[in-house]
Amino acid sequence: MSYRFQVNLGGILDVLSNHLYKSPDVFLRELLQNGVDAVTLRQKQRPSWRGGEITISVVPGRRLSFRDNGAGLSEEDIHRFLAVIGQSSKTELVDGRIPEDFIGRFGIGLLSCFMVSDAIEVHTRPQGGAAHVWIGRADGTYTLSPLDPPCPPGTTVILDAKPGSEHYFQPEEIARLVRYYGLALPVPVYLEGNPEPLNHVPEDFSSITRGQLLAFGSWIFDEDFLDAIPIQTPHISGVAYVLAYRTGESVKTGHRIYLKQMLLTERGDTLLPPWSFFLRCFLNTRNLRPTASREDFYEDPELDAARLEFAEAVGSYLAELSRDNPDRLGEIVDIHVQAIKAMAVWDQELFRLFIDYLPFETSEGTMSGRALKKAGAGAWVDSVPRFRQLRPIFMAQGKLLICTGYASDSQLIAQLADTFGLPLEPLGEDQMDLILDLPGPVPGGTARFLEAAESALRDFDCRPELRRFLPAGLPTLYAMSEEVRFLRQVESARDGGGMFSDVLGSLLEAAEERPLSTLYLNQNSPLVQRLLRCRDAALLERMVQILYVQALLAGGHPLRGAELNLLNQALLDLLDSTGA
Amino acid sequence: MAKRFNGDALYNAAQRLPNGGPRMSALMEAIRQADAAEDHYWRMLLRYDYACQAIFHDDPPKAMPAAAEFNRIFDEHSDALYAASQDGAPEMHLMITQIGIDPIVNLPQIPMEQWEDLMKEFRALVQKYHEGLRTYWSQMCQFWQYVDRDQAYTYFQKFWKTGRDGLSDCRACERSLAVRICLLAGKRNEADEYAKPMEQGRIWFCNDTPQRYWLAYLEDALDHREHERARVFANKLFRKADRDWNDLSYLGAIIHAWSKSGDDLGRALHLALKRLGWTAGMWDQKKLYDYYKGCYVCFRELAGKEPAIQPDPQTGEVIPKLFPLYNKEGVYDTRELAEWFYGQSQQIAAAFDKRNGSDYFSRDLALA
Repeated sequence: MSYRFQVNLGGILDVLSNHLYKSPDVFLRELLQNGVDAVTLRQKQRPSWRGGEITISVVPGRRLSFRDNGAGLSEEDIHRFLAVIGQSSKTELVDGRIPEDFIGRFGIGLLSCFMVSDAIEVHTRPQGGAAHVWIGRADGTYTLSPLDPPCPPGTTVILDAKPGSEHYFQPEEIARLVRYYGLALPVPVYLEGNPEPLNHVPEDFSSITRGQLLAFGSWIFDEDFLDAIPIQTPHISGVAYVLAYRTGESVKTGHRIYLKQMLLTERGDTLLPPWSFFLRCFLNTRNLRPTASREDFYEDPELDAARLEFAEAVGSYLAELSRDNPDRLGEIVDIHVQAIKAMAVWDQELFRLFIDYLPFETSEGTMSGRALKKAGAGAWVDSVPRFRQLRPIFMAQGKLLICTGYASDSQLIAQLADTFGLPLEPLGEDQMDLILDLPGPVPGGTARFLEAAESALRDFDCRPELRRFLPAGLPTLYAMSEEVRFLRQVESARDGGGMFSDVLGSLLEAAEERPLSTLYLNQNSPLVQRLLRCRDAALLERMVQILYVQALLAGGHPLRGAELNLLNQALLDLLDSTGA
Repeated sequence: MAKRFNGDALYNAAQRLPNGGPRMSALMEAIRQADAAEDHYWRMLLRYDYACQAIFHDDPPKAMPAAAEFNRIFDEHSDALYAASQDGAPEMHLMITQIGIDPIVNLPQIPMEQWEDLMKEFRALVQKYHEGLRTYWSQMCQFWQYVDRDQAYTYFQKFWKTGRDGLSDCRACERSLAVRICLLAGKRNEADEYAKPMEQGRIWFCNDTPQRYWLAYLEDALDHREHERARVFANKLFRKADRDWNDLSYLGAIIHAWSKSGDDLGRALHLALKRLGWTAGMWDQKKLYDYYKGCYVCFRELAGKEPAIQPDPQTGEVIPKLFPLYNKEGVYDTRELAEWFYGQSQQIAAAFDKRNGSDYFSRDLALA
């Protein structure tokens, strides 16, 4: 024995309004969609007919009538499509596919009207057929009867505002929603009494002047843009506007992205590449699939192709600018340097195109990629504090240090070095020879000094090394690899006790070899020279420990418990040694 | 005159930096200043942000000491957080404790008993604050997926039946875990049901993690040797998950899938070489394992076709100098590379299985 499921329409409406659609105002999007599809169907039935239009009349705060002059519904159509949820007149397959010229496909759109009205009244009449009135109610019942007098061919949907929805039934709000959802629709939409359509957008943006494009962008988005990039590809037509101000890379919204002329989403993260945060796009797409909520694209190969087309179109435009109007490209790079850097990392061709324009922070001030190509040997560091610590040393020695602690810089500089064979290297802790010379001869040798220094630093997982470097005023340089930095932090956290103490202990125990940090003692420094002559081992140890703490502080390294006490103890010992 | 500590300014300056290393470096400096100023509110908030960066954009174990320090400060100065937000303080305390425990599943050097002890502490906090029970079951489920799949599925059911609260993961990440656990349990239809709202675009993904359920499907397809199906998910995932070294697990699976598809072996090789540098210094052993396993499959497949390769630095194929097989000539024996990556994968798999008392990783490697 089999049974049929009963569907609770109230429950379905709750799902639609609270889980599928983001706002009740989508009822107008669904009406527009149905209206345009009806006009499209009539055009298919009579290819010579070109008079499709939609007219909306509003009784403020009370009633809305939405009329299209497309293919109306017969009595049979009404039973099939209006009364069965999930049945759409547009899902009949042609060659195994849903015809691309219809917008809707799920057969649930009309239900969204129940979010603003307790009943849906539909007057409809097909070409040469009888007119009917269908009234559906939110409790799941409907009536159907002949319409007398008959309406003209087409369909009119009449909605009465339910309490709380009155604000959607205002002419200004309806005009705003039509422009928002249906600006790019190919069928003119009129507000009754106004001869100007609410929507009008060119089909092809590639032949429109820059000035006109900018004016259009200003009208759509209510802001002025730096530039307008026309996009005309097999899947997309529209404009990508270059913002006149800097934005963060997390900004993904604010676009108008349409599917077959109907607004799909304001979010760009599905269609647009990650670097497009410097753009505000008005795009109409074709041949892509929407998700059921019609608020995003479905992932498939067509979407892949569309993404690639968009990226190529923007890249080609900027490449053209670099040839024809380098000043304007320079202006764009100045404002959107982060986005342009992200683009350059993303694509090798774009990298070659932009690298000369891109600025980088160096020990010699800001330098462009073009200047770095001619700068000779240099090193880069990925940490801004580390760059600040090392900058004076590089400056004193006339050597080049590049800071790659900012977005994309590390990849770009590495790519710059590889692509153009430049002598630029990352500065690891094992490559300090670049700025540190081997020590010169020391009368009496260095063994005693280094022995005392080693003893002084042993408890701090640090080893001393005597070197010569400029500036001479800097007695020490503390170098710590990322691994040492992390292990120090783990050790400090373990020593603090608490619930994580054992786990952190296990992490430390498992470290194969305890890597040591290095304290470079500068033989050029008068202070270190004096220590090299010192014969008091205990005094030497204390002095090295003071220098060690000083180096940690100068490098911005957090002090562990033992190091905090070290300075005080060392100073007390000094006082003791003088008998004070 | 000493400069006054300004936590807001330091925090905002860090937020303007890119995720991962640069931002963590700035946050570390801000933490140092907050410690010096003894501003307990900022000492905790900055550590919280640092731990989140480590979990989502860097090497997750780096979150552990920050979480430990946060807990210690919170024990003594919780009033500084409560003063800012009565509701937010317990939530932040729970969240960072969870963030501190989370990486242990991927660190075989930490004994299971220590993880269990921490989970008991976390459970006690959940009871104290009346929040986070769903997260607790989710954590249990995530650890046990490598120990005992049936037990993991049981924990998953408890997780799913427990109501969401302020500590719960984003809906898409939760459903992605559901998909993963159902696939592991061999329940593909059930997995598809959990995936449906994401497939239909009814649930948004958080910015921090890409489509994790695609990884679950990708790994499932690889396990079942459905290479064409795997390729589809690999292509989708690649667009979302090639951002930083936190994505190594995704990339490993993508390399694996592309290596098995004859037409994509070149892409797999390019990606394997291009992102090899991201493995240097990585503490998270699961990410390393996934990446090494992908590279092993890639070079094994390649070894039958090309005896040697020469990476092209101009296309980003850079072998790091610290890589054990690095040579100045820049020519590499594919068989030798395959053996090296296999050896590394095997070593990590053995460590995981020993800690977990299971054979999950050894079997996984044998399936590759």
